[in-house]
Parts: sequence; C-alpha cells; structure tokens
Amino acid sequence: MLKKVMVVDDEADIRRLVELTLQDNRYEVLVAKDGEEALAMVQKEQPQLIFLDVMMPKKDGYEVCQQLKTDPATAWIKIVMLTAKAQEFDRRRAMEVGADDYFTKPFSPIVLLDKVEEVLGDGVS
Amino acid sequence: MKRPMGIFPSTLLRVLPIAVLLLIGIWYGATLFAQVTIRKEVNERLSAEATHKADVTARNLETLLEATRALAANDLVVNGVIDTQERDTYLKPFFRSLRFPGPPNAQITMIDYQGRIIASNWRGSVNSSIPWMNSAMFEREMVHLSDAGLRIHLPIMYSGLSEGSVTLEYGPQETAEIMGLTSEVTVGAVIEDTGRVLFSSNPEVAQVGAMDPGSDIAGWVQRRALVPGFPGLTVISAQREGAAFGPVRAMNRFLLMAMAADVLALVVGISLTARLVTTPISVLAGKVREIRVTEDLKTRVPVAGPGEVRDLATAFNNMAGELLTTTVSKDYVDSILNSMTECVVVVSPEGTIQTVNPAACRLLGYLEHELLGHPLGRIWPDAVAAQPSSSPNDNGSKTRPEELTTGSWETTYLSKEGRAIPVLSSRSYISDGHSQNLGMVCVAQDISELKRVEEELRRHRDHLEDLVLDRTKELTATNQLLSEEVSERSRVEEALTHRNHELEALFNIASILAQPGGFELKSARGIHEVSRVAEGDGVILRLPGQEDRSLSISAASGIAIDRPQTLHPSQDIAGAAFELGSPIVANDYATHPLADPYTVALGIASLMSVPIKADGRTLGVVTVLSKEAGHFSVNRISLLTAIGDQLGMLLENARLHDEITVREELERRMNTFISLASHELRTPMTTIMGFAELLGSRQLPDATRRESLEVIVRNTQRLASLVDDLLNVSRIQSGQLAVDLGSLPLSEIIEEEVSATRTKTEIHQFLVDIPRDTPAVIADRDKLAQIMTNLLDNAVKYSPKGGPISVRAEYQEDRQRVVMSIRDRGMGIAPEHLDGLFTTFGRIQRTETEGIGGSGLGLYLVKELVTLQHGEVWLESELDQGSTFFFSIPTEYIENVGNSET
Repeated sequence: MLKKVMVVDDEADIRRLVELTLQDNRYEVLVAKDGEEALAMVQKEQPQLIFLDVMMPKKDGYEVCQQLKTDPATAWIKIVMLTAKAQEFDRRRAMEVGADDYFTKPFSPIVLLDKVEEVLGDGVS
Repeated sequence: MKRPMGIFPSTLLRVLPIAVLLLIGIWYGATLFAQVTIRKEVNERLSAEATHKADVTARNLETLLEATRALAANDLVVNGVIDTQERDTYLKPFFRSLRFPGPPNAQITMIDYQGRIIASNWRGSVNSSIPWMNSAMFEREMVHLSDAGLRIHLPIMYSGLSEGSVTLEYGPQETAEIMGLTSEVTVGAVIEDTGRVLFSSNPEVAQVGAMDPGSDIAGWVQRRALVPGFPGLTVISAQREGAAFGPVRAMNRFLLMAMAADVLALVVGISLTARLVTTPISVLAGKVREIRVTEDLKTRVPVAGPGEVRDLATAFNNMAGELLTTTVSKDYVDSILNSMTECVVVVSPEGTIQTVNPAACRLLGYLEHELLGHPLGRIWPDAVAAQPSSSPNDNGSKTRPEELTTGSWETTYLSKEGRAIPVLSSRSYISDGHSQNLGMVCVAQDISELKRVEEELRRHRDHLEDLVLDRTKELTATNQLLSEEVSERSRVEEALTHRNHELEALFNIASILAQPGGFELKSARGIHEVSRVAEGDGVILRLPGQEDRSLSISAASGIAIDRPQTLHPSQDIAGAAFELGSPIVANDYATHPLADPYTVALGIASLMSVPIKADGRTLGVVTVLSKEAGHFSVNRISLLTAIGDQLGMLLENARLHDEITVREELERRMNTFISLASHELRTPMTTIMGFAELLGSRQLPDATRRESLEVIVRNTQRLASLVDDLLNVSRIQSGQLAVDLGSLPLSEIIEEEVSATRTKTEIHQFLVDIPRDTPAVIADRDKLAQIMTNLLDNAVKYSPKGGPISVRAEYQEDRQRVVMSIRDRGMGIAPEHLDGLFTTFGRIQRTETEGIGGSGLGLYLVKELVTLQHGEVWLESELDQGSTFFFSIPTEYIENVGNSET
C-alpha cells in the first residue's frame, strides 16, 4: 500500500508542486487548503506525514499541529512545518506544539523527497 | 400614706380565687368524665348500628338479587325476549302485574339484545334505548349503587347466549330503606374499597366516606362495617360530633352557669356582711372628724350595729365626755412661753414689764422677779427710740407706748451686767377688740452669733476681693502671653496649610504624569489642575510654534479667550513672561502697560503668567486670569510658580510619550509591510523555483510539463505585477507620480478593460452598462485603465464562481462627474473592516480572505490614482451580499490647487 503524505498550504501552486514531486515516488498525496480542511481529512485518511504551512488562513500551522499532537488518535503522525525563511518562524514554538521537523521555502523538490524519506525512515528506493 | 384596703375588697380578694379555683376543678373533672363515657357509648352505638345496617343491606340485596334472578330465568321472560308474539300477549301484562319483594316502587325493565325496552312495569317508552347501557351489561350480573339509587341488572340467557336483560331500579329513598339507612339520628353511606361513596343518606356524608376509617375528623364520628356476601361494599354509620356529644355540651353549659351563679352569690354574701360592719364605723369616723372641726365635745355617736361596734361607739362617747370636763388652763400658755427659745416680754400699757419667759431671763441674766414690775427701758433702753429703719421716728422725745410702731427690726437689749446684746426684736399691741390698749408683747431673738458670723463673713469677703484683684492682674498677663502664642501658631498653621495646598497640587500634577495618555490629554488635565488650585476664572496654556516663536493657545479652562490666537514673545504679559523666563504678576491688569484691551474687556482684573520650564528650556507659558483685582496673594504666586516647573515636567513627559507612540506605530506598520511584502514575493518565487527544478530533474508527462510551465508563467506575472504595484506605491509616496489629463471616451476604455479581464477568467459573467450619452471624462488614460484593472481583478477575486460582476456608469450632470461602480456578489466586508481598506496592505486579515492572492496594494493604488484625477472613491458593502466600489471622474477640467498637474 502506498504511504500517505498530506500537504496543507493555502497556495494552490505550492500544493500542486508537492503533489507532483511526491506522487510519482510511491506516495499517495493528499492536499488541504487550510487547517480546518486538513483536520477533517486527517481523521478519515490517516496520513503518515503532513507538510504543514505556518502562515495559513483560519487556523495557523502551529494550532493545527498542536491539535493533532494532543489527540492520541493522531499524535503518531509525523508533522513537518513548512515555512519561508524570512517569515517569522518560531522554531521554539514549533517544538512546543510537537512538530517533528521543519522545511523552508523556497525548496527544491529533490530535497523535499529526501526529507520525506528521512522523516518516514524509508531507505533509498 | 395610702389607706389600706377596706373590709369588702380584702375579704373578696382572699375568698374569691380559692372558690373559683375549686369550681374550675370540679367543672374540669365532671366534663372529662362525661366526655370519656359518652365517647365510648357513641362509638359502641355507631359500631353496632354500622354492623346492623351492613346485615340489613346484605340480606335485602341478596333477596332482591334472588328475585331478579328468578325473574330473568322465568320462561315467560326468556320466551318474551326471543318471541315478539310472546311479548305482546303475555309479557307486558305479566310485567304490569309483577309483584316484587322489597320496597314498593321498584322499576323493572326488560331489554332485548338490541338495547330496546320491550317491557316494563312503569311507563317508560318502549323501544327507546337506555343511556347507561353498554354491551358488557348483556353478559354479566351487575349491582350498581349511586346517588341516583340502586340498580340490579341481569342478563337473560337462552341456550348459553345473552338475549337481553332485566333491570331492577330503585330511587334514593327506597335504596336508603334497603340499606337500612333511614335512621333519623345517624346518617349512613355505602362506600367502595377505594373510599368512594356510592350511596349516602345525606350529601355531607360524602366527606365521611373520604375519611380514614375510625378517625373523628371533619366534625363527624363514624364507624364502618363490611357488607357480608358483597365484597368491596362497606356501610358507614356516622353522626355529627355536635349531635353525638350534645349531652356533654349541655352539661358543660349547665356547669358553667352554676359556677357563675356560685361566684355571684359569694360576692353578694361578702358584700352584705361587710356592709354590716362598715356602716357604723363610717358614721363613727364622720363624727370624730366633725368634733375636730367644731371642737364641740358635746357631740355624741349613735350606739347601733353589732356588739363590737356598739362597744366602740359607747367608749368614744365616754371619752368625749371626759375631754369636755377638762379646761384649757393657764399652764398651757406658760408651757408655751417656757418652751419658746425667743425672748418674750409682755409690757403693761404703763410700760412696766408684766411677764418675761425663761428664755428672756437666760439671755439677759436676770431672774424673773428682778424684772417684773420694772420699766421696759431697763432691758431695752432704745425701746422708745427704736423704730423700724423704714419709718424712723424723728420725734426723739418720750413717746407713749401706744404711739410706738409695731414691726420687727434689729436693736440692742441690755443685760444685767450692762452688756449690749444685738437682737432681732418685734413688738405688737395687745388689744381686746375694742381699741382698748392692753399692753404690748415684745419678742426678741438673740442675733449676737449671727452678727459675729456676719462680721467674719465681711472680713473674709474683703480678703477675697483683694485676692481676686491680684489674681486678675496675673491672669491678664498670662492671657496676653497666650494670645501672642495663639497668633504665632495660627501663622505657622497658615503657612502649613499653604504648603499642604502646594504639595497637594504638585502631587495631583505628578499623578497626571503617571496616568496614561498623550500630550493633549495631559496638558488639558494639567491646566484643569492649575485652574482648581489658582481659584481664578480661567487658565490658558500657550506653546510656541515649531518654526517661529509665536505663542498659540494649546489648552484652556474657564473663561474662553480665543484672542489673540497667537502672541509674539514680549506681546502681552504672557509673551513677556515667556521671553523673560520668570513669572509676571499683574494684580491690576487694566493699568498694566502690556495689558491686552480684548482681555480687559472680558472683565479680567488681575492676571499672572508663569513660564513652564523643563531642563532649563522654556516650553510655554500658563496664564491664570481672575475677575477679582489683587487675586494673586504672595502664597498664590509662590504656589503657581512651583506648579509652573512641575507642569513643565508633565508636558515634556507627555510630548515624549506622544513621540514614542508615533514612532512605534510607524515601526509596526513598517514591519507589517516588510513581512507581508516578503511573503507575497516569496510565494511565487518558491513556486517558480520548485516547478523549474521539477522540469529539469525528471521526465514528466507532457500534460504535467505544460502545467508546470503555465504555473511558472503565471507566477512570474504575479511577481511582475507586485513589483509594479510596489513601484507605484513608492512613486506615489514620494510624490513622483504624474498624471496626463485629457478628454477621454469613457465607454471605450471600460470595454477594453472588461474584455481584458474577461480573458483572464472563464467563469465570471460581466454585465456592463454604460449609457450612450455618457460624456467624455477628464482623466489620464493609463491611470484610468489601471484603476479599472485593479477593481475588476478585485471583483473577480472576491466573487464566487460564475457570480455576475456589474460595471455601471452614471453621469451626474449637476456635479459634473461620472460615477463608475463595480459590483461583485462576494463575501462582502464587515463595517469594522471598512476603515483602512484603502491604505497600503489594507487587506483584511488573511483568515477571512482565504486562498485569495493579492498584495493588498491594489485598493491603495486605486484611491491614490482616483484622487490624482480629482475624483473620489468609496464603497458600499454588506456581509455575504457583496461589495460595490464606486469612483468618480470629473467631466470638466478642475482648477488644480495642488502641484501634480502638468
């Protein structure tokens, strides 16, 4: 079965980029355009990894992360915060809310793939 | 002393309570006994009656049931139910002649299976149905008791089927008879197990039925008995408590009346006995009083009444007789004279002493016989000369005794040893009532001791007066000292009060310092405080301008003086004080050389200007005005001078606070701008980079390659337009954006822009309405196009898919302008977000504009561009209904006051 990776970002182009990068590489990619949509989808789809944009409408990435990590049913899901370098990104805050790692924009699709494999503990395909 | 009680009340008081207590005891005992006995008797009687009634009921009901059963089983009746022929021929006559056990007036009715009456022994209408009938009644026997009476209902069976029924009914009176409830003494009722009354001989018995068995509440006594053979039926025998216990009540009444009669008899008896004794005694007492008044000892008391009283009267009469025989002797007068402590001397008309009393002998040192017969002059040399001081006798010669004045006065008696004894003497003439002089009585009291005491007192008084005089002198001196001290103290106190006042004012100003608020608020509060402390009629704060040093009013309180708005330094007293850097007081302002006529005209009589300083710099000047001449005392001047310095600190502090606030706001906006701009730039960059790398790194399907390229192109455009917007903003903010105004055909430009926008979106519908007669507008073609592009893009962004976008133009001839409106059916904007919508990055919180790209600079640019072309921009919006953006463009050239026109 394909491993599920979810990408949560309010920019459609970025979602599409992640989707294109991962879908040909043994991953099933789920996309959500905001925190609420993501939370609703996680319950149903149970992805192994979530890329979570920090700056998002309705609920920001920190909030979504904290909610997922405090719920025993979803706490096991790996979460990688997606952030722009110059953006106000609080590493400490990310750790506090239980994020597993973070990844900065702009990013290279190849490095993104490496990150996914690293976080999910997969060997080179 | 209060007279003790008479014989009657005291006897009554002793006897009556005992008698009453005794009677109450007897009454209580008798009542208790009667009650217990009668209650037992009543209960037994009611029980027996209930049992009897139950037996009667059982017997009668059984008999009636048997008779009815027999009737229902009668062949004639059974045949009558089935055979119509039988009914008319036999059944009806049979029913009419029917005799039945039990009370007369039984109504017997026969009904067929359809519920029709087919025969009866009463004049009921045949073939009418019976209201209380129901189908169950055809099946089983039924005894029904109610207020209406007794009803026994039996089915008529034929071959095991019910073909009809027979009903036996009795009215209430007969039913009471059947139940044995006809007693006149007691009432009765038949009740169900549930306590519901089925039938009663008295409506009030319904209450009894609802009662607990055996209890005697609600004014009733009741007993019950089960009806044997009829389970569920109970007979009650009840009697009103009033009736049941009637004998007890009657006995009670009788006993109470007997007791009252007893008490009455007792009172009357005691009264009569007492009267027998008191009447003679009252007579006796009256007589004694009479004798005392008349001194008539011949009075006698009548001897009457009982033995003891008679004895008392006799004894009294004897005593009166004895008293009568005793005369009042001379000894009596002598004993009076002897017992007197005053000297009494009786002088004959000739002037010789006739009588002296022992007190006189003792005082003068004579024996009685040494004086008797001697002239009065021997003991009272001044007897003739001595006169009451009020009427001195200036005759001086020897006067006849009868010419001597009566009265009392101080004089001197001479003792045997020749010692003068001061006495208070009085004399009076003895007359027999016929102007016959019988002599004179002199009564004298030794007042030598009194005189001595008087003398002593006088000496004391003199001494005291001297003392008081000395003490007064001393006190005056002390008072002088004290008053000096007091005035010193009040001076110190005044100084302290003043200081307190000063400190309080300073403290208040310091508190204002600690409060939040900007320059305006703090200076207003400071001025208010000054006005409070100075007690003047107005306070004005003047501050120098930024460039020149002219002083303009910054805050004021009290009398509103708006002139002169600005002062030049050294103009008026305020200017002079500012220039000089020290306070100026004009307690007579009108005559002051620097006085301002306008201020004088307002009635200002005195004025003080205090420069406000901080860090050695003069920041401004505060002027206190008063309509009272000489308002500024030394204390007030020093207080206001002190406040001037404090106020300086306050204003400096507030100014710095404002400066910091403005700087912080600028900084915050700058940071937000940078942060948003960075994010806006970074997102397309990430996309472009990512897709470019994706294209280069892998073999992708053609569709994906095409898509990737499209994304890259789109994001590059987005970047370019953002950079354009930023450049425009930067140009506007530095005032470098120029407009090239010309007369332009509006509809042409609008159409162009709409179709350009239309190519960018395939899902929105555009409704354009520009009337043909819309005149040309005065605008810059590029700028107008940019405005339209921005507003149309905006409308597309915020419209739901396919939502129509309306573009309209309206020519307002009177205002010489065209108003363009662009309307979308999007989410709308809440009123609280309308402010600041047209500012840089005025885009509403991203949470509400989810997934909608945009730099947030568009509307700011629209506003600036419209304004540059002498137009206005505004919008109407309602949440969830959409927004309409309006902007106006003039149709005529407008004289430009600004500087951006070319």
